[in-house]
Amino acid sequence: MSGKVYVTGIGIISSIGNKVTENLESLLNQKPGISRIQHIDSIYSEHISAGEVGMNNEELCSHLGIKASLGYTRSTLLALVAAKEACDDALYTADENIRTGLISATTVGGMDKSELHYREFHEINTHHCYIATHDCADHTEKLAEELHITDFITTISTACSSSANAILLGSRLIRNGLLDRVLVGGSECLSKFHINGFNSMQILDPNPCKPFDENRKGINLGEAAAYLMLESEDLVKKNNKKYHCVVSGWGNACEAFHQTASSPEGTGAVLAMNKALKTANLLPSEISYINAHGTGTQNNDSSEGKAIETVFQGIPPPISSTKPFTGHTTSAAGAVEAIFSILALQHQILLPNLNFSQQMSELSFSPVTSLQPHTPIRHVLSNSFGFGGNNTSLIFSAE
Amino acid sequence: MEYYIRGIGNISPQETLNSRDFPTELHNENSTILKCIHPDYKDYIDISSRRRMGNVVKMGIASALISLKDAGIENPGAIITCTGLGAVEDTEKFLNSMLDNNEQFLNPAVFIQTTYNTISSLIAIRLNCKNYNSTYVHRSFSFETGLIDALMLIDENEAENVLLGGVDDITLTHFTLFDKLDYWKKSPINQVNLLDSKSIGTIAGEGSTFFTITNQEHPENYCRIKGVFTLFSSDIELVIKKFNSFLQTKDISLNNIDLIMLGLNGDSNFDDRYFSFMKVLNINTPMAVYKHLSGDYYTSSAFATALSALAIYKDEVPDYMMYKSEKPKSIKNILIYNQFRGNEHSFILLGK
Repeated sequence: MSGKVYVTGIGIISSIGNKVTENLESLLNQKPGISRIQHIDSIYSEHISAGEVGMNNEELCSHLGIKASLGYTRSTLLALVAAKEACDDALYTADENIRTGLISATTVGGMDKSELHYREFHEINTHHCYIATHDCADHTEKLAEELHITDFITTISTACSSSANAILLGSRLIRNGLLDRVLVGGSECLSKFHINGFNSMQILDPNPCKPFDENRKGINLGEAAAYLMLESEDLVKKNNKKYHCVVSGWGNACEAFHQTASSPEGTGAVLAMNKALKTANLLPSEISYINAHGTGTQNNDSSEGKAIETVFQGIPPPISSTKPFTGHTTSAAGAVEAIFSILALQHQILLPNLNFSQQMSELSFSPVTSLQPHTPIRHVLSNSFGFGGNNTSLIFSAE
Repeated sequence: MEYYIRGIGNISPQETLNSRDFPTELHNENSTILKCIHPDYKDYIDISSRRRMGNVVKMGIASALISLKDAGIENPGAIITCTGLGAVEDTEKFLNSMLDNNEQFLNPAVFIQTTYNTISSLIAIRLNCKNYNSTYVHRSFSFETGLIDALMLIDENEAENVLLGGVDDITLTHFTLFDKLDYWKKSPINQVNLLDSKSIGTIAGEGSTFFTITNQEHPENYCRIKGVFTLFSSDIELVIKKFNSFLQTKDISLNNIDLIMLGLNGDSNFDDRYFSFMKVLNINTPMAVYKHLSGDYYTSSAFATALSALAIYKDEVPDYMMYKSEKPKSIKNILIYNQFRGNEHSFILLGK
């Protein structure tokens, strides 16, 4: 078990851009993608803020060159856009002699279509094209067919840490020599179902979210898809391939505390970050920047903040949550923020935590509030914490 | 690295709660849906928690606890749950309530249960297990890819023991909707005749089967796990090619496989693919089957793995599992081959 895990391709579509360069530009210009909801007919559309991808489904189809849009859920369309960009970036071609995998993450899956057509599903007696697209695996199989990936395909759903776990699993499959390359990431579209779910829990902020702020009021949901092509050291060396960075550390732990709440001291988060540091063989002081989970809820930011203080013994590196840009893209968040972490590393920039004004009384630190260029960054820690206490931390390193 | 199955907890449409014995009598329904025989959940889950839980969560927690007890292990090094549908019952409940009440008066407790990782998370809370925890949700690959993860965790010394399970329940809504896609038989059929039915569709089933997998040798281990692989393709030639290279890497030949457990489900649209696989490879190995016992569901290969592990442990296979072949004289190696609708193929190799 040895060998580095290289990131050779990245692709993303989010509310701040339809590809990597557009996302980078929005980050550099500190331009968030949070607004009222356009594409979903919900009684809350006018009242909550969310990070919605600009293109509607028809526009996504024409962008992708799909002529008949029937049978494609929004998560699948978003996934196809981001996965193809990651594959093009990695100069991917299908090759039977290279063991290739696909691990994708979602929780919403095809719910956007199910909630629209649920009554019709029951009323009509024949086949309805959106019955079999409901489950989490559907978008993964459509990606696998499009990209001719056969060796290992699976789908992970651990709520808001889902795509971080996809990256973790892919990295381990390469480290353990089971695959040569693997496309990892996740896709989550907005749905009335989970907007209502989060709303019923009373954790949505109607205005732009303020992670790590004393007066934070909750989450803005968002939609996005993001994918990374991971390749083994052997493959990268053999083909003399260009790469973005390496995935150097990963850690998964469970809080075993409460189904939705995090423990006040962030036990699970501490375990996940420490495991990631251990796999990367790094000291806490070697981390240059933390892209936090930072959802903007009372509970997460306090628990995550305490956990960071514990792991970094009171002197944390610069920290920010980029959720004010994209909203909380739930199952896709791990992969979205992995790509933002990689951009921070490549461009040597600290990304700002927008909307911040007042430090939390229980924490000893404030996040980075403006873009800071020309910052030496070697190792970035990215946190993703989900309901059920499913906590995952990843570390991306220059080499 | 060696991997062993040390404990099993198996809730199924058959009398499988006693993990160390095959059911003596078969439940033999005339139906298109097979439902589980449930244990008394008050033995496993307190009343206040139980009230909030759907079937799939109760089944998952109880079978996980039965598996750990069977293994004599209290706290595993990792928990992995595999489920094709997750908490489908609560998802339907929240969706109906949202549509009926125009997005108002919704119960957050129901929404919380709808996330796919609810089962794994509640098992962790119950055991106070803060270790690795994940949930696989990929149709018939859910269990197999979870198993690949479990074996890697042992290789990485992340865990000595892994609690891994496959769990799905069948709801009337899911049944009704997928009936429109011709997943099920159009009229009730006696389950023991399922594989001779020569018509489209199968019988819907459900189950929850958890395993305690360990790297430690022990006289009470059921069997070894020798390998697992999956392939996503409808090209049978590719399946055969990958299968042959799998056997090669495991250093085992077809002659050393004593029994092959096939996921035949009586669906005339798809069962032929198992036979062409057997024919092309010229396999004359004794064949066993399981979906006439459990019905078909996304994680039914976990049920197949439990029966196969028991067959190796007891060195016997009941008559009701054999399919058109003589029983093997002794059972050292079993290969499980499952398919889902012609393009998901998975193989699990178990040995003494």
